Amino acid sequence: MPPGCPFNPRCPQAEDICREQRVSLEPSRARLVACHFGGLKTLLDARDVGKTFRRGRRRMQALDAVSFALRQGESVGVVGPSGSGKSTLARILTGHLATDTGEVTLEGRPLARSWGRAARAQRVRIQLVMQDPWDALSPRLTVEELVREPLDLAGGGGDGGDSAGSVAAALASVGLPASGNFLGVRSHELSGGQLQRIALARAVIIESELLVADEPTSMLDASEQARLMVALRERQTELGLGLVLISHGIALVRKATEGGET
Amino acid sequence: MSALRSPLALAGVGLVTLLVVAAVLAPVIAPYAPDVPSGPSYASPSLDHPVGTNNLGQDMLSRLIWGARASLTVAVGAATLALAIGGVVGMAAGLVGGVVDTVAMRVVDILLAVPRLPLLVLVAALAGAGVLTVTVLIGLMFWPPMARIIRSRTLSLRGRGFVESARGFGAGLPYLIRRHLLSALGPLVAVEFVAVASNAVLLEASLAFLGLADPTAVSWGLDINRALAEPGIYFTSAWLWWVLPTGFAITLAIMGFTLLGVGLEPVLNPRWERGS
Amino acid sequence: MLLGAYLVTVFALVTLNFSVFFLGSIALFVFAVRLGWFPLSGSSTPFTSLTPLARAGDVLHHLALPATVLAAHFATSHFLLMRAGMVSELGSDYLQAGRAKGLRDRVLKYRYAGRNALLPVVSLMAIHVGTMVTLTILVETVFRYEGLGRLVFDAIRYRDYPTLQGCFLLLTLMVVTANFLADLAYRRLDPRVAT
Repeated sequence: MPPGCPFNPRCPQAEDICREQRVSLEPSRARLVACHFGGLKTLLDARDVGKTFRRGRRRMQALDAVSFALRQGESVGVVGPSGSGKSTLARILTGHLATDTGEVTLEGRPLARSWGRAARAQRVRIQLVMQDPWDALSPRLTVEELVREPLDLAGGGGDGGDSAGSVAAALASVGLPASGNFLGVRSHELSGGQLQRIALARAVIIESELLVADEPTSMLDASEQARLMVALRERQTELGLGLVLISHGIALVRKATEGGET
Repeated sequence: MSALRSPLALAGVGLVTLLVVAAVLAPVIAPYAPDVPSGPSYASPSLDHPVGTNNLGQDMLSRLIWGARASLTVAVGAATLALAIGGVVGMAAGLVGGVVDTVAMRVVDILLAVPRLPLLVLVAALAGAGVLTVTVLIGLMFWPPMARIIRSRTLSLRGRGFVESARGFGAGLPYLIRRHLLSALGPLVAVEFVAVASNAVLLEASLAFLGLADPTAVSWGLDINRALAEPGIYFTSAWLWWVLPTGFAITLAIMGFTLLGVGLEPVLNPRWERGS
Repeated sequence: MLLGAYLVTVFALVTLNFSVFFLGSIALFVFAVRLGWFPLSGSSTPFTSLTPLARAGDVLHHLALPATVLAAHFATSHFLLMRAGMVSELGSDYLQAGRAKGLRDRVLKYRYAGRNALLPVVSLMAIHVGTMVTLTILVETVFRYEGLGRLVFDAIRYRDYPTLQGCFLLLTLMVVTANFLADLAYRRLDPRVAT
């Protein structure tokens, strides 16, 4: 028998220790679990997160002591009316905005906001799918360049052949063609649904652990919505990603997630 | 590039090309040397001198062609300088923000309040008005509005989703500038360059008209200055071929750059950018 | 009628690029020299003693051409901007509503569309006020008009640097004041600008 935990090749949260050391059955969280991490890792932990926006003398409190935790592979839905601070929460969770109070921890380490290399490496683990795909994707780049960008930034560009394969695989995994024609198309020639799926492909082409989707379907029509949610769920299941789904439609969130936060 | 097919833009391209050709190929195209008296004074247009001669007997056509050099040099030089300084300041202010931004914008505001022509006149009179001096002066005059415009575009680009996405993928500042910012600023820079060039031609001509130019160089504005200094110039028909063509040359140079800018505007705001 | 509008627009587009001293020289040649309607130079006829009324008339007579040239130089851009504004306003929905309510076309054109199209033009005018002050240097040189601009030109010719510096100071003060007043006026006209 090879050393380490037998599930290590398939496990989405496997680390080096899983390859090296065997593990025995121990009680954890009211169950008996044989895992170095005592079961599913807590990926994301937001505690007492608060954010107030100041404009001159006016103050607007967007978030007030929001707390929740997310484990590996879990989905959490965040529902609320417009203006309830959902997008603010999304941006805080992904490290694009700093909190005023409280703390966000990703894989046990606090989420950093600086430009430094270590901070950037950490932020890659949690990806944001934005509401407006036309804004989120540069109109100047072709589909291929768009899907390649995260790969190039992660330094995994390597040689052209390698990344071309990854791009094609990522596109196929969200239900988009990987033909030469399609690769050369620019964002203004595509529909909202296609663009959101490209955004999803970008988020999963690198090794991220967690996806935060901020109203990903609100700019799409019904059939595109369904297709996007299918692609999202498929990617999540296959890669074992955590998912925070933010929406104003409670039906959508219910269909897609298990946990709840309103 | 379909934007450049509009008739106005084409006219602009044509005029600017004419200007460049005249400036670059002056020694080859001009029938005579511009500073050598080659005919009788005040000669009316003839086959020998298609635009006549001035008071010193110098061929007007040659002076028109050679004059393009001064105008083009000043226009391109000043625009380049204005964009170099304004671009750096504007981008830095937009990207870094904070104190740097505030300080830079206050400086820009102060500089913008100073009236251009009087300041140019004062400094050119005091410091001498050679082509290099005038180019640098005009360039320094136009960097503040350039900085403002570029800073504004940088700020709006900084907030765009695709910049945030890139940051989310781990992009550092150099990558963002190289990949996203510069290509988005490109069209804006082109349009503004042409606008500054157009203004620079006008300012150089105005300065020369006031007598602030290198007296040994050939300049359109200076020709008009000398023409109007001749007593009774309006009463001879010499006005018609001395002042009028020179004035039109200045006008066409300005118009060329302006039309080029008009033609480039659609490139600045293509259909697919409207989403922002 | 349409042809006239088209020609005027083209004329404005071309004339927009004329430098103001070129425009002035042409105006001088045509109206003062060839047609003789206006005096050739100066701000008033020298060496005469006239009654105050005649004097005022004389000054106005000398002022007419330089002032008109300076105004015309800026009028082209105002014309083009106003025209563009009207074209865009005339396609607006609120005009349809007005017509449905029974307002006459002329009222609609001037009172509603015209007023809205006027706003950017006023804003442009406010910017131009400052530039106009500085362009007097060129205009007064062409017409030999005795003003601050002509003083600048003479100071350049005779290398009179102190005078130049004084003129610069005075001109700057005038420009800043003019811009300020124009800004105040604009704030009153545009309801959208917060006080």
